[in-house]
Amino acid sequence: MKVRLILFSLLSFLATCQITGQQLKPFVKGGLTIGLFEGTDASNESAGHTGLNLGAGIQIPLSKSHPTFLEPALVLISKGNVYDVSKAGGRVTFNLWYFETQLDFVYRWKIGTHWRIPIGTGLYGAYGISSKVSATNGITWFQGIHVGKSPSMFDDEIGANRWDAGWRVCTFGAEYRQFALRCDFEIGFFSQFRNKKLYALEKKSQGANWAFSLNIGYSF
Amino acid sequence: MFGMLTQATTCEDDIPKQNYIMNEDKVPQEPYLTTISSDYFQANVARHGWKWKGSWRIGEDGISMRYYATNEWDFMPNDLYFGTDSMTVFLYKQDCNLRRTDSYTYDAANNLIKSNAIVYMQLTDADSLNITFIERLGNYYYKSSYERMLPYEVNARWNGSKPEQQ
Repeated sequence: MKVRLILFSLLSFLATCQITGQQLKPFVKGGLTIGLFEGTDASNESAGHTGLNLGAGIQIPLSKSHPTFLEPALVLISKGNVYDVSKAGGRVTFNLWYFETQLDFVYRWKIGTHWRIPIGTGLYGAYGISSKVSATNGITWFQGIHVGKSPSMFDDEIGANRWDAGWRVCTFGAEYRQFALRCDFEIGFFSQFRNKKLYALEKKSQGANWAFSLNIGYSF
Repeated sequence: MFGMLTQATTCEDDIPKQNYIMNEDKVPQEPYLTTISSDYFQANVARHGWKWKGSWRIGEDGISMRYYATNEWDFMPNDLYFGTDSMTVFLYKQDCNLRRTDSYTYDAANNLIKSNAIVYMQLTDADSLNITFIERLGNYYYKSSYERMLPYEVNARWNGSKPEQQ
């Protein structure tokens, strides 16, 4: 299933390239991702989850007169949340790994000969390949979840969807020659807690993935 | 008749809509149970007295029901004192203020307080001023809340009670 999904995504990229017939620029990127579940805040003893992302994509020019680009990318990314449970004397970590297909519409503002400022927005679709809830030694229960057993968020108890989708609210940064420094912020459309309401979340509908990424990239 | 009177004095609007799940031993499980460490217990709960504030009886269906007045009980609720390794239950029985003291252990894996002084007691939440338990009182399980007593209140309970004869 996972292999088929990756192949499908790659074929989609290639098909897009064929259709446009434009001068394409592949790129690679990687960096840190700070994850958070929507609806949690500092009063809920929530801290951001620090994860990684690594991926590749293609810059497809959309116009000859304007520096606008479509940027499909396939990324391996970790998201989640961390709760500081002071009464239990430790932390509970919700960790999710996804294969994520990103589709950004980017405007590249050229400054000088070699510098560009990219700014854009887009959508993403993702498939969860791994998930684990872990806790510091000594924490057995967290809001009714038996974290001592290190459950998966995709189990029925929590009920996270393997499929996720959302809005890439903004992507911006700076590019020098072939090197890029980019910040992305994306918010999911769906709660990761379909079957289990966390007290840390005000409403059952909350708990979607929020992610802020800081990447470095290289285009060929 | 007693049941009708009880129904009449129960305020339905204040019934917590918390659903408990009964385990195989028919003991209600706190749906949002979070571990409270032994260190936290010793720092905030032990060495203090705790005055009963209110209890919600948990029905066999897992839906809790609130009782308001102590005269609705077939027994009086208890006040508590936790030492570092022994606990005292202050109880009113047969027109007499009694106290029952025994050693206890705190099992942080399930927030259980184990002692011969009580039947069943699971700590569900605690801070320096309030604690809540699921506890067995009489024939039923209750969600009970307690507030911290001032030292003079603990002394008054201690001096005004006699050790219970086993």
